[in-house]
Amino acid sequence: MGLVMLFACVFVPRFVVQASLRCEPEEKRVAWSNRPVAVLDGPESLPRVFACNERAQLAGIEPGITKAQAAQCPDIILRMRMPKQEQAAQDALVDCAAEFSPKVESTSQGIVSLDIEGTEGIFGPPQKLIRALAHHAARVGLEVNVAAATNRDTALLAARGFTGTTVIQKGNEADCLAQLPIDVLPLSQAQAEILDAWGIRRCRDLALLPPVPLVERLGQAGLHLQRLARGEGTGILVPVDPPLRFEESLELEDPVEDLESLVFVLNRLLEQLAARLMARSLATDEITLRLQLDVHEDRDTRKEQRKVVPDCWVRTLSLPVSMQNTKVLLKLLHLDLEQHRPGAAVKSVAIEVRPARRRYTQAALFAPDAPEPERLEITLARIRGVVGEVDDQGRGKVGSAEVLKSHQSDDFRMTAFTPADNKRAAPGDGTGGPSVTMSMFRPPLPANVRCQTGKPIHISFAEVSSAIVCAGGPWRTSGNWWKREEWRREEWDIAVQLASGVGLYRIFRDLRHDTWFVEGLYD
Amino acid sequence: MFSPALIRAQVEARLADRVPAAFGQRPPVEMRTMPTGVSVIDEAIGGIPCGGITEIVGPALCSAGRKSLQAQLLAGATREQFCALIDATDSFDPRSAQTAGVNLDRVLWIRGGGHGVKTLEQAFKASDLLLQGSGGFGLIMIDLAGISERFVRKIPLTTWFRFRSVAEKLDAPLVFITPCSVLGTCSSLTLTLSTGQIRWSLPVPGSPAHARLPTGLDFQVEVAARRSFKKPAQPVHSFSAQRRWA
Repeated sequence: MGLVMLFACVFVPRFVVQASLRCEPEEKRVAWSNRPVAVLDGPESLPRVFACNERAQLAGIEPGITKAQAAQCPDIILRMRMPKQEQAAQDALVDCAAEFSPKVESTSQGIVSLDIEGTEGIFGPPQKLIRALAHHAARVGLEVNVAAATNRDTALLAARGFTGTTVIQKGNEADCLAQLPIDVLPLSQAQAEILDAWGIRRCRDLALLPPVPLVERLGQAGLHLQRLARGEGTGILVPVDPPLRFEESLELEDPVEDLESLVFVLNRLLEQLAARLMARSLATDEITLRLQLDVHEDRDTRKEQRKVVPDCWVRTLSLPVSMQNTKVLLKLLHLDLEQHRPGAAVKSVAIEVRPARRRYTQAALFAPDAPEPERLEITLARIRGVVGEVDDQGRGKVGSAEVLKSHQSDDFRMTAFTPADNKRAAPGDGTGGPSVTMSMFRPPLPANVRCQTGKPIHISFAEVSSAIVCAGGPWRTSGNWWKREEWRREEWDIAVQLASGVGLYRIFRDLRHDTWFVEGLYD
Repeated sequence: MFSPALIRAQVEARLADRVPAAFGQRPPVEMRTMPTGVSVIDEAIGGIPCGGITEIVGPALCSAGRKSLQAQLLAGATREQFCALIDATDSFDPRSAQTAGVNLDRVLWIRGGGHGVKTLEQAFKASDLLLQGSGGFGLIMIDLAGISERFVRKIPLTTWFRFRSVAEKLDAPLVFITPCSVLGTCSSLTLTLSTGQIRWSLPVPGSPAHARLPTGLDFQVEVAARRSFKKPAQPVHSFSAQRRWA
């Protein structure tokens, strides 16, 4: 028994309408399923209907009529066409198919073909696979027809012609396609008119025509159409491997000012993205939110200094670990938006997530107990809302410290706190008994220091004014002389007697400005 | 006639399945301890209590050893666990802490700023969020040492009771570093630190100043245990800390 090639094809009927409604909440889509919907395209001054659903068609709406004409239909829902949404829907369709086969072809808008040969051991018989495929497509908001056949073209025609799922057995192709209307074939306008004039209405009629007279009248294209109608397609599947880009966007009918309403929209987009990531068995470690703002310029001619609000608001959240949980991602975006509110109403939303490998749930056997990353990230986002994000020097206020290799005192940077078992060794092992540690003053406290023969003898700063009991120094250091942030200093360790005890301080003199500061306390 | 003892016995018997010893005192619970890394404290009481509050007290602006003890605790805890440090006044020095053996990757450092009431409020809000929102830390430390004593003294006692009840549910030590003792009976252990003396590399009179380095500090620690935590035989101890960095 020879090898039997097996293909499946996914077809999205009325793709433009479905892509337009895909990002709406489930309840809204269900409610709108019984109402006429039309998608408009063209210049803003005169948009025309580009596509519509069946209800709209029954109500007399057809492509090409103007918005004003369409609006006369009672209860109609009019949406503007958004190419980004169509691209996102097509990407989602490819992602769905990629879950079942590595060989996927993005055949055309709203059509995806895949090679399902050899997948029986994983997904069961073709009937089961295509049902699962239809179910997955529904999860990303697309109602599809799926067909499986021994050649790609037959599968495609069956998907276009039959509603739901269809499996065409080998040798049964012509019989199955016979009843389909002729317009499932890729006919040009001229070919359609000729076949109509001949009274050819169904595929069977075309399949039964004698080949030679058909070629004489329609050329090789006619013969090709006849082969397609007989289920003898020879189309080759060209698998695509597009760069993984996970982006969902939505243009809002009316600008949204309220954050809660915006979060509702974000939730829907994140659900779509999470479904696509799951289809690829991926997670994300970075989210970029782009908001298009509805900024109204004040045309008042008074020359006042106006606050300039950018019309595009971009926020990027870097996550310390890869995540897939929609609720966590939504909460993080919500907390971030609460801290960085856009300055105007939002008219369109786009979310892009960077794909990353999923995190393994099983930790190392000897790894220490650690906080749960998702919960911790939300907690840290809330804490950032309390203490702030960065200090005056642009260093984060929440995270892990990393000491930088420089001679400058107090030189460190903040990195994201990742509760993973990391092996970065500390220079000291902590086993040799207590070590004197510094308590820093950030920023250093200005001080008045009286010197005698170049040696400090009295200091006053904050609430302290005391004679210096003992001093060690000076030690001179400098750096960054090639930059604007050049520093030169003279350090001293001084001991002062206070009412409550002895204080050992590190002080320094800024040699560039000849001013004294207290940097820290040995504590 | 019902005697009070009989009524009490009947009430206790009725509530026995819900409240053990309704009119009695709660039996003391043996607390697990975490070593501090300071041998005199560990030998005296075994370490700081897990599931209770430890208060480390030291006078402001003095070299009392609060940060050295903090670094020792963090160094010990980060060998096996992750720790959280809520640093109200942003005074933690990562360089000297790293030299003391702290694995900085395992320390979640929440940096405050300022010294006033607002800073205190921020620190408590952050502490609440951390304690409620995320478990899994082996040590949680809230450093209020740099905040003025007059503000710390105004913290209502109910706040400390709240922290105490949270700490009892934790399986990790909760440590407060304060400029004065304010937790009262809410802390299971209070370590009161004070300065001993400074040791210099060369004798103070006669040696050149630039060749003189402080090599270490001696501290006094008074151990006061409360509630169900064990009592030390000798309350006052002293320990030394070496300077291991330039």
